[in-house]
Amino acid sequence: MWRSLIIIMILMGIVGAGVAQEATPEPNPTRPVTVDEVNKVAKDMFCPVCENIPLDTCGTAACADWRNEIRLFLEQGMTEEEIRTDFVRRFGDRVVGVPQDPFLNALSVITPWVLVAIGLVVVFSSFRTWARYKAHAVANAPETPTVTPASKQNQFLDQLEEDLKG
Amino acid sequence: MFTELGLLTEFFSLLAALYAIVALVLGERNKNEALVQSGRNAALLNFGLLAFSSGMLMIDIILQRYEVRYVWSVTSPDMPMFFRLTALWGSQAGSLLFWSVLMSGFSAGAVWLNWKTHRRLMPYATAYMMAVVAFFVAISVFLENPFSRWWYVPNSDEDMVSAVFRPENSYPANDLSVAEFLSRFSASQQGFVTIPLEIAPIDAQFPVQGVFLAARDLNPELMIPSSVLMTAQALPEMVAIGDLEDQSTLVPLSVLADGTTIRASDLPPTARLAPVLLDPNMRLDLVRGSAMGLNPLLRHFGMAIHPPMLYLGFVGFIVPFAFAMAALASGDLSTNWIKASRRWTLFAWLTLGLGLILGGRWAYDVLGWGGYWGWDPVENAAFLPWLIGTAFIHSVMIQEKRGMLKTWNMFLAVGTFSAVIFGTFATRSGLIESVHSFARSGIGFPMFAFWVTVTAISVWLILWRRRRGELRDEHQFTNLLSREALFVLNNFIFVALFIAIFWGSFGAPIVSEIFMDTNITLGKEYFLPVVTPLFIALYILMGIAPLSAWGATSLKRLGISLVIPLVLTAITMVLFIPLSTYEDGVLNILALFGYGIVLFGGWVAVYETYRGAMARISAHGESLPVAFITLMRRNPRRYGGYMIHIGITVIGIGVIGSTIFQDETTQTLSAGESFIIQNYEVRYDGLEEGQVTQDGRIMDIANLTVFRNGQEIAQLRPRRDFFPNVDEGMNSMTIAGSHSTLENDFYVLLVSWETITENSATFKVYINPLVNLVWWGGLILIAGTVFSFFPKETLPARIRQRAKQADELILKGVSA
Repeated sequence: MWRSLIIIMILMGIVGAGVAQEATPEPNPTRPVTVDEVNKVAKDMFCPVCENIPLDTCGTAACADWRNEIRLFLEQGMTEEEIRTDFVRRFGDRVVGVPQDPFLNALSVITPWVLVAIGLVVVFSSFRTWARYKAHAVANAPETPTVTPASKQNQFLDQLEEDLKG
Repeated sequence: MFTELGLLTEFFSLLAALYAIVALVLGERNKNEALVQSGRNAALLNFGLLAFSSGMLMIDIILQRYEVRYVWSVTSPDMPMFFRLTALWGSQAGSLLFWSVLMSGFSAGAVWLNWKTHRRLMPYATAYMMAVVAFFVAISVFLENPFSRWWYVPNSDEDMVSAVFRPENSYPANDLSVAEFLSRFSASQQGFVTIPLEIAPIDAQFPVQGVFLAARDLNPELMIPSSVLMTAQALPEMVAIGDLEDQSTLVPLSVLADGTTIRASDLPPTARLAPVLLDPNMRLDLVRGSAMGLNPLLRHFGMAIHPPMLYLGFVGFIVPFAFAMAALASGDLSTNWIKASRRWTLFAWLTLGLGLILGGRWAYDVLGWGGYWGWDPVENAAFLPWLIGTAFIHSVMIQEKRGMLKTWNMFLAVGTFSAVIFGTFATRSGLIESVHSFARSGIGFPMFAFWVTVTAISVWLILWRRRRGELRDEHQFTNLLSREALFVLNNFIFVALFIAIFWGSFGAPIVSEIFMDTNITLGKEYFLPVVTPLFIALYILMGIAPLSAWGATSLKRLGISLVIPLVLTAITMVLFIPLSTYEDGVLNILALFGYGIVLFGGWVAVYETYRGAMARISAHGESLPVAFITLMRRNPRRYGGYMIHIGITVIGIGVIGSTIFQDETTQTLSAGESFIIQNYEVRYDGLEEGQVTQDGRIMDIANLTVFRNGQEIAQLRPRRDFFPNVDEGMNSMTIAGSHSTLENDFYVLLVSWETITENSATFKVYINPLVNLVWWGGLILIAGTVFSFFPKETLPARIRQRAKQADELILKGVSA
């Protein structure tokens, strides 16, 4: 029984090692990486030196070197996200379009929506106030004689003429 | 003389502006008409003086007076006249003066045209305008003076000093004798310079006055003090002693300071040095040779128009702001201030929009990244006032029609101008650096203080009048579907866009830097998800709002009005299916719906115009063209507005197409090779290197042939321009070669060509579908805005006079 157990453990170890190998693939320096693949990664990053210039279009020699670095990373099998994380670790959150730091990310992305939501609440509460005013005004309005509704075409024409008057 | 005149008149313009403020405010408060008139004239004089001052600077630029530091910094002897003229706004100091003269021009225009019609508002409005002009002129005079000159100050820490007035013991840098120049070297040696030289080819000492050296094939990395190098380049002529066989190939090297050593290792084997004797009385120009000229990126036709348009838009918003402030100050809170400023607002909005479109076109042509809008903070700084200004243009209609939103309109008028001042501060102070930004300078803090002060005073005035109950609305909103309610929603979305873009461009980066000591940049990953839903809502409202009525609209009536535009939209969407499909046949359903939403707004504008014409035909029996023309002439504001909506629709289609369906690739080709992208084939035919143009740029041009489905469709010549006299990093420009059709732009950039072999080159190719609709839509938008300027057709004066007389008779009859 002990023998069987040892064999099972050895087999599990082999399988486990295989799984682990699949999870972290060996660098594959022979994999050809095209400039388009490099630019696809660099397009969403900023030059760490020149402010607000995307890395794929920056003309400085330093950026050419960084693009070459991206190519090497891709050849080694790194994913786009891993490459971005590596650049952020070295140069800070300014090299990506939205910060990776969770707090900064939330601050950047959520703030405008919070402000928009507050604005919407203000606008709609104003509309509700106005609606109450309307209900109050209607309730207190003197009775007016019923007017026969005009045809749709006449309504539009009247409105148009009114608009043309300015 | 021109420089002195320019300086003097600019200073006097500041005095005129300050006098105008005092005279207008005191005169109006004390009901002293003479003083008010005097202030009015001072405001007009301010414009005259500033225009004259700018003219003097322009003359300095044309005459190449390089002793004027501004002229030296933005022009060079080989720059063509066209770019020399645009150099007036090519850098900080000149553009500030240009900005001031434009602002003063707007003020003078408003004084000229509105004084009689809006007499009660004009003194205060003019005083406000003069206050802003005075601030900018003061900044120009005291901190960024464009008439500052170069002076040569021997025996000081810095040889060359720029100052408005001549420093002690200095010489004009463009006109001094050799003896004066050498005084710094020879002061301790009675006019003689002794320079020990330890060099291989020539080994000698030169105990002569005014020794210059000339060399051939000099190692360019030889360290030479910059001021001395500047001098050497500026030598008008040389008399060489020595035995160099061909003096025409001499490169003036340097005046060498005492003890300077040139090592043999610094010189190539073929180098020869020769001492050059100069006449001590010979005149030197130390600055001309080092003038570098305009930033190469600005040497583009678009830059001749883009900045003036943008500036016109920016400064033009001073008029509605000043009228709003004048209304608050004078207590005339009727719609007079809106009527007085309506055309000025539209003009500012038009030119700002035109400036933005031209800026996009410039970026597309010159910056070499295949796009026209990069969410760069400086682009956004110009876009922000446009957004608030657009909200203002819509919102004032509600006040004019219904007497509502009085406070809100005041806030929008102030907000638009506040955004202008903030944008100016952000771009000129170096707050956020970008390709557009001016260098960091000393004007940052004063501009920030001015922005805060102007905004705070304006907001306080609005709140003060509101507390007194003087900004109370005449009507209340009674229906959520009324046009005014929908305009409020439209305003809300414009303001939300403003907040989102402001936060992404300035708010978040500044907050993170100040409070967390972290630099962040928010790019399209932030902007696209945030602004896209807001723009979608805006396009939907653009479609619905014109169909609703003032006061109240029922859901049923609105629904019926929507049917035909929606049907037209659905039909057009079917036609847009091919444009929403990728090369591999996959349909992008979101893009298709995007097109649909954008088209809906356009169809409503078309349908409403058609419906109006048809109603006139049925009511008045007019023919279609007559009905259409009558409509347009009787309400140019409304139908010009519809044209603008159609323009915005066309721009939206272009933006969706060129953003979602852009395709790109980078390929390296040897001469004769080709590659395929989509159904295009590109063949590289060869490179023309080193083409030198008249303005001194060196162009490397690639020749490409483009085929589509096997048929040759274009010969493209993408190129790289180099400017040898300009600092590294700014000395090249990538000019795309493009084949433009309404369907797309086939856009090619020459990336590099020498890295592999001389015969190969790397190209970046973009296919930008529908991108030209962005420009065409811009033109329609401009046409619509211009159309809405037209005065409304009214009854002939004779008939109006008769009607007036009849009214008077009736009134007399009633009173009798």
